[in-house]
Amino acid sequence: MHPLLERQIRRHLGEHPDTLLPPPGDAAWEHLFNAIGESYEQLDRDLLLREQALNLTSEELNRRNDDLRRELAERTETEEALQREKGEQAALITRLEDAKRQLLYSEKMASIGQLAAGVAHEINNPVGFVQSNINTLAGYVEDLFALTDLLEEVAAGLPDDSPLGRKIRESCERYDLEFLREDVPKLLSESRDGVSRVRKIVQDLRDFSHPDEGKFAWIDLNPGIVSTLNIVNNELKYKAEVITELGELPLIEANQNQLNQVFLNLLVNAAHAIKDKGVINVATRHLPESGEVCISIADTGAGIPPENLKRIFDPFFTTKPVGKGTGLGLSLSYGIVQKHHGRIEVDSQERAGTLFQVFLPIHQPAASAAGEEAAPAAEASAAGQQA
Amino acid sequence: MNNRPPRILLVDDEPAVLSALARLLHRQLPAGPEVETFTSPRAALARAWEVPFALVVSDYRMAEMDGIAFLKEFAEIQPHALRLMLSGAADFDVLVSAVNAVGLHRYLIKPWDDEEVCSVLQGAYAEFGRQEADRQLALERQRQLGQLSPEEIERRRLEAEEPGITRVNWGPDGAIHLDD
Repeated sequence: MHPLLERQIRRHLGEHPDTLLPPPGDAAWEHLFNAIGESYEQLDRDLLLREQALNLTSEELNRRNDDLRRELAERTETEEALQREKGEQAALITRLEDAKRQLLYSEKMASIGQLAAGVAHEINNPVGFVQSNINTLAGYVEDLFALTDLLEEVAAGLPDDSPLGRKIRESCERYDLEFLREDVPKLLSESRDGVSRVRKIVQDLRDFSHPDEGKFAWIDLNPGIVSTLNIVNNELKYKAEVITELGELPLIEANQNQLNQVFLNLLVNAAHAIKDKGVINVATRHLPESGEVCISIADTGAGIPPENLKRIFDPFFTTKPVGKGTGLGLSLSYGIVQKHHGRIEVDSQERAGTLFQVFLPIHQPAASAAGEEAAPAAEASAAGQQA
Repeated sequence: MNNRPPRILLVDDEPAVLSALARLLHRQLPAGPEVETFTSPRAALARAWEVPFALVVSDYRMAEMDGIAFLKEFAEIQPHALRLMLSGAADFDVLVSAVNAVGLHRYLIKPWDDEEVCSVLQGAYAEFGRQEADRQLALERQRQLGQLSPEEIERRRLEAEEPGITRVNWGPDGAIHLDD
């Protein structure tokens, strides 16, 4: 029995449980029942209170739970923001590095330009007088041959037994006059050719790297391509037969020297792609419907494997052995073409060859035509991956 | 007036350039004016005090002094001689200062084209002759009009024969500087 009930019974029905119970209807029963009813009611009240307390606790807990969840979400968000920032910083660092690289490269090109101008001056002096002397010498030799003609004529006029006539004929034979007459003009023309080649190389070197960075002018691309071909001729001629199909082009708004650099890079790459002997096809054409010109450089070289194709415009990506290539050529080229609001397209088949096509607009957008800064190489490489 | 026609002066610190040019002119213009060559601009300036020149052709890059400084000084001595430059430094800045600072008559580029050099020098020589004749005519006219004193006429005659002879170099302390 519950001790509380035992106590109630004892209080209302007598101290000793073995005594007789009061008869039914006795007031003691009524008291007892009242007391028990009251106990139950008290119990109910207690339960209610407890229930309310529990509810309160549960609400509090829910609230705390929500707070924690919110806090967690906030933390996650902060962390994500941090990650994002970190990513942005990394991208910024890459861009800065690329910009620095490009700056170094253009600085290098500028100093090559200065060097070329200085060297050109030094070379132009000897080339000047050698060329002039060859011409003068040609005149002298012509005069001398006129004199020997006369001598032979005189000898022919003398009687057969004349000692002077014999001496002249013998001397002409000894000095092989006939051969001299044949060979001297050849010698002179070959020497003239050599000097004019030196002259051309110096001129090309100067044209190519003249330090007028960033200037846009209305130019015809074809002469630039021809002069670039002259520069790389040494690198190309043992590797490939170069076929040029230069179509008639309108003048385009562009920077000649920078584009020459692009052509140079593409041509050198084409030559490097060819292992033994191949063909490099250089073509230009006008695309009137899109307002563009297209320069295509195709080689019959090794081709680019698909996994590399995505990376060729990335700075420092190279498949050439150490010391053979910096991996900057194509990324720089891409930067330059971007700056011209053009694009480079690549089509390559392994073991069959690669086709690079450079598309350039005839007109530059008005605002950016002059003095715009170079597009960072990072953007160039990102765009390059779509190519 | 001088009894000998004015000459052509070539200045380049590369002797082989000078002899090639002299050869060329000797052969292509055998009846042409006398040619004097100098590898030293200073020596050429000294010579300019002695004989009149119709044309002066100078290189740009020379160890002693550059072609522009040389032509400037030359123009002080013989202002009427036509000034030409023959240079491998086809630098835009050089060209601009050559034209602006020394009133360049022609700019020739190294390596030169023989025919071009001959025809430019011939043309320039003829131009100098025309200008000289104009000056004589003006002088004669002024003399006729009595605008020139006999002293002035004598001064000009001397100047034509010995360039610079009538000019006196005063030093800051009042001394007279004599050129050797």
